[in-house]
Amino acid sequence: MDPHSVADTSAVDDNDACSSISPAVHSDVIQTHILTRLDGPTLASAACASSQFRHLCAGDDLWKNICTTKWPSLDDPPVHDFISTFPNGHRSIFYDSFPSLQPLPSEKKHLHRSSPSKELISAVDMYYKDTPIFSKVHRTDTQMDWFLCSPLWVDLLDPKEFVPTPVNYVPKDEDWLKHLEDNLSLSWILIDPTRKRSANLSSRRPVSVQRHWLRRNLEILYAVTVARDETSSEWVQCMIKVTCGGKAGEEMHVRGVSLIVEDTEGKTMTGKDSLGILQRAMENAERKIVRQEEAKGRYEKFLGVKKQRRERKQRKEKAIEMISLMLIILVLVFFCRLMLF
Amino acid sequence: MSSSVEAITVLSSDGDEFKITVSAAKLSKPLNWMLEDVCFSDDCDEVPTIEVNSKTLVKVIEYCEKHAPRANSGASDSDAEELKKWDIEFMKMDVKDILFHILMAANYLHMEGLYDLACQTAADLMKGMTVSQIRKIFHIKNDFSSEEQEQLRRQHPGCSFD
Repeated sequence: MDPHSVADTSAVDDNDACSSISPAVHSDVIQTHILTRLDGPTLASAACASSQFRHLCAGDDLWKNICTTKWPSLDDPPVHDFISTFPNGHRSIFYDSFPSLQPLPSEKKHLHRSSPSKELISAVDMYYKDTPIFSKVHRTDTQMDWFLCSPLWVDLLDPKEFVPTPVNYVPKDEDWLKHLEDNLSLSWILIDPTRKRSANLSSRRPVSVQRHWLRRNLEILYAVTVARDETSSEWVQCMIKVTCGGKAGEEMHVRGVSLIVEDTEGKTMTGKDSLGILQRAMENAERKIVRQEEAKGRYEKFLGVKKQRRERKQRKEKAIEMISLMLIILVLVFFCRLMLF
Repeated sequence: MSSSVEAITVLSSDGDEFKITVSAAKLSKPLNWMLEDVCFSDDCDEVPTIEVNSKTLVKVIEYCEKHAPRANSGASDSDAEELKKWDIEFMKMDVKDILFHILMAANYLHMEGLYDLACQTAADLMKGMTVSQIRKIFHIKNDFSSEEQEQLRRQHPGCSFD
């Protein structure tokens, strides 16, 4: 989807904006009292009904209200300033970040070669039963050497920082893990202020909730699979790890929220490689509304490919070991025979 | 106005006469002002006109009569629940033929409760609907060309069109 081409070409005179709906209703009534009560997907559908509706649904205030209600982290003055420079303002963010990124390589082969991105902004929101419990904006400088060379690792919380949740911590209960999987959702909107695009890197609902027996905490994973480049069918995975802990029966704390990008070899991508992949995904990848099972299925498929690669690598290493061993034996036998005769 | 008057007569924009009780008329600010200004006793001939058509005015008066007891005296929670259910049933109507007329009448008569109810009903009718269902409910004419339609489908993969 390319929201930038959804230009407001439907410059319709406000006076007849609703002549096709009802002569009794003024367009400003529709715009200020009916459209303001809609959620994002319905407003997007309404915008497709007619050119008049497209015009009425284009107001940035409508989309700003929808975006900041859905993602409270976007209600931040510097973020507002960035979004206001986007071609369709908050509508661009909604169209880019509400649906999920698709893992297929795009047909568009070329990336816009505009000025390189100076920074990436992460706007992250965590929800329990769809009520926001944690929101944070994090800025990552993408021009520093340390960022480009070392593996990408965006950490939202300081080591001593933790976020309380309204959930009580239950150390040993499978039903409770299932409850968290169904109710603890997360959105990680990555914004590129230079190229004026964004994408959601989270699967929204967890793809895995597991207890870490050694560290005695919980690891909740959210993942999205994207194409590694335009040509090959290789994937990489944006992986968000949320670490939770607490005392039994007391409130659960979120102790860590971090993002990495890993390939099917299990290798963590560097800042430079990740930046290229994420920019391509933001600009070219298709978007679609994805159900939890589908997102989980993609994560498991990625794990399957990763396992296959690892096994193939192990088999290859074993074969090389065997060949080396046989070669050594052959050489030894050869020398022994040479010595004897 | 004489305090003995319990109901008043008003004319719709179509010229039909309607009776509305004083307590129900008080839900609308303009009607309330009218009560103070116009002579409603039996020896007065003047009948005020409300610029709302008959079909809509019947529904507006029905709403006022139902809500007047609660608005004037306050009511228990169970009454509020019952009234909410009544509102939902009351709002089951065609959007273009009557809902939008009620909405504009509520705006004209400064009836906040009815205006909010009509706007919310219109918004609720749209929620979760496909593009063509929204067009059907609101009687919207699709004025996009087939090329524009195709472009919209590409640009809105999250929307269901059919």
